Amino acid sequence: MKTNIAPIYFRELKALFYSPIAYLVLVMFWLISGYFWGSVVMAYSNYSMEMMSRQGMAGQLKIMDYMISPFLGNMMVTFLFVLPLVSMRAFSEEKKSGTIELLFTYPFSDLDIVLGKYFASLTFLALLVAGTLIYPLTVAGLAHLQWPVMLLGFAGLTLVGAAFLALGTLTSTFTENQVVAAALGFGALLLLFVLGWVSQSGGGSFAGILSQLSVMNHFQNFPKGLLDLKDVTYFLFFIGFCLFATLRVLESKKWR
Amino acid sequence: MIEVKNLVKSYGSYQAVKGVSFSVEKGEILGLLGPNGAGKTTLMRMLTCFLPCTAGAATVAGFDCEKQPEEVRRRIGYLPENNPLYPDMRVREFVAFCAQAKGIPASKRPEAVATALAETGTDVVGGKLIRQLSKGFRQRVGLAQALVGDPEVLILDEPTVGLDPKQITEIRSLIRSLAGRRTLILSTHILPEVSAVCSRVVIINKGLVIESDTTANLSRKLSKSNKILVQVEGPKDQVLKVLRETEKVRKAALKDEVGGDVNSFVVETTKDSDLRSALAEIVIRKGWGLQELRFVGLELEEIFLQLVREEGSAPIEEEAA
Repeated sequence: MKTNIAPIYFRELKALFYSPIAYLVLVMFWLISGYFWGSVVMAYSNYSMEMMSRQGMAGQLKIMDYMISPFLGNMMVTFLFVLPLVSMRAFSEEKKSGTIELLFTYPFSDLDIVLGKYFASLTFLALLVAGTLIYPLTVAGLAHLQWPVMLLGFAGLTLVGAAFLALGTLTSTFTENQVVAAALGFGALLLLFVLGWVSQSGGGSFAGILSQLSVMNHFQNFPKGLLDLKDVTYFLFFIGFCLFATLRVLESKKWR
Repeated sequence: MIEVKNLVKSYGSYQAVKGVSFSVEKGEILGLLGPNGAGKTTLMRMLTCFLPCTAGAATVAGFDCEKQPEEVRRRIGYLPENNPLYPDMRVREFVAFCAQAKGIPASKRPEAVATALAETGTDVVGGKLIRQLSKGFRQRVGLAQALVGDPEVLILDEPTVGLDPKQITEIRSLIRSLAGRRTLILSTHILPEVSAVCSRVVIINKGLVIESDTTANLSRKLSKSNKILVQVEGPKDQVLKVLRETEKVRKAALKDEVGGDVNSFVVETTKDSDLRSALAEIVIRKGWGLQELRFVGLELEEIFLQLVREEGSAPIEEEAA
């Protein structure tokens, strides 16, 4: 069986930009991340001045730890809000307009459709993240940046984004209402996010399990420059599970 | 070309299609006729592999809808109910997407798109956004979408619904022009559409086929009695009385009060008797005005209503009762 992903992929990518939501998300995200970058730069300079006046050891403050890491963390939280807006229309819009009937009567397999749509949203995510690389570049001439570590941090951020989009794609199959799809995605992501807090406050094996499920806990190693197979596996499994569930939901719609 | 055998579709405990069988030969235009909710759309969705069937089998161009859905989809052009389109795409862009989706190689795509647009008369709006099109043009774009890539089979679900009378005529003649090489199934609940477009009819009601024949045959088969319409200018009750007392008349009834003293009546005669001359003579002799006198053949509409009623085992309503 030949795969037939390209038509869906390109249409979906174009469709993202037909609606104002893509532009809105890009501009909002870049503005907000710019603000975050400004604030971490301010914080860093204040902190280094303080250090300088005390001990004269400002040079030892690591840019990774004090700037990039909080910056990436803030962007991840922003993802929580904006990425459900990107993925919400994937299937809900097609269901509402009835065009899903066209897609499913063209010679596509279900997998073609799901992957085509998902890859299109990943491309958008790549654009979103690539835009924010400008900010570290503004200080590249002033300070020594550890590029490999920094890029790993951004790669980690992209992986988190990819997981968020996979979940959003899944929730968009549940309803023909885009707002409901976005709210469902946001709610589920928030839940996965706060699991980390619970595990911090409580002890025991249950908290241990919860902390392993938390998105936050699996992200925090990336900005430190640690590439843990466990974290990568977590996100890949997360994505795989969501897309598999998406396929199942689409299939069940046909049987019902 | 299309073979449907005992097709069943259940939604939970509700059976939308209860064992439908028919076949369509290559080049035929089959009309799938039935009231709303008869199961036409469900049937078409099964033929296009959008829905799997609960039981039975359907083959299109020799491929099983259940086992080789992608082969079937490759050979079908489908216009779904309500004609879903992407409103934010331009017409040519949309049809090009459909061509790509149907696996037409990039080198042949521009030609395939141009052909489909020309055939449906949408080339003039090729650069427009679909959302800006009138309903008639949207319907044409829907047809272009189904046509692109020249599929062997076209399945059109209520292609003229919601159009104005002029657009309906246009779309119908377009559909007729599409036939020939292609095999066509179209569903409708509008009867004149079937007589205007189709060579064969399958009437379904409540998920069952109640009749399947050519349009002409169906009409012949179902004219159970000779009916004559008489329009007379004269006192209503007297005319009726005289008509009833005429020899060989089984029944006579008032059909319409045309206005003034003019009324039209339907006279049902015994089989194989032509009373037209006799009736004319009687009316003239009484000194009334004879305005119209003709046989009433059963129109498809009457056949349809009659069949649907018979199926519901309700008594056949007497005409003008």
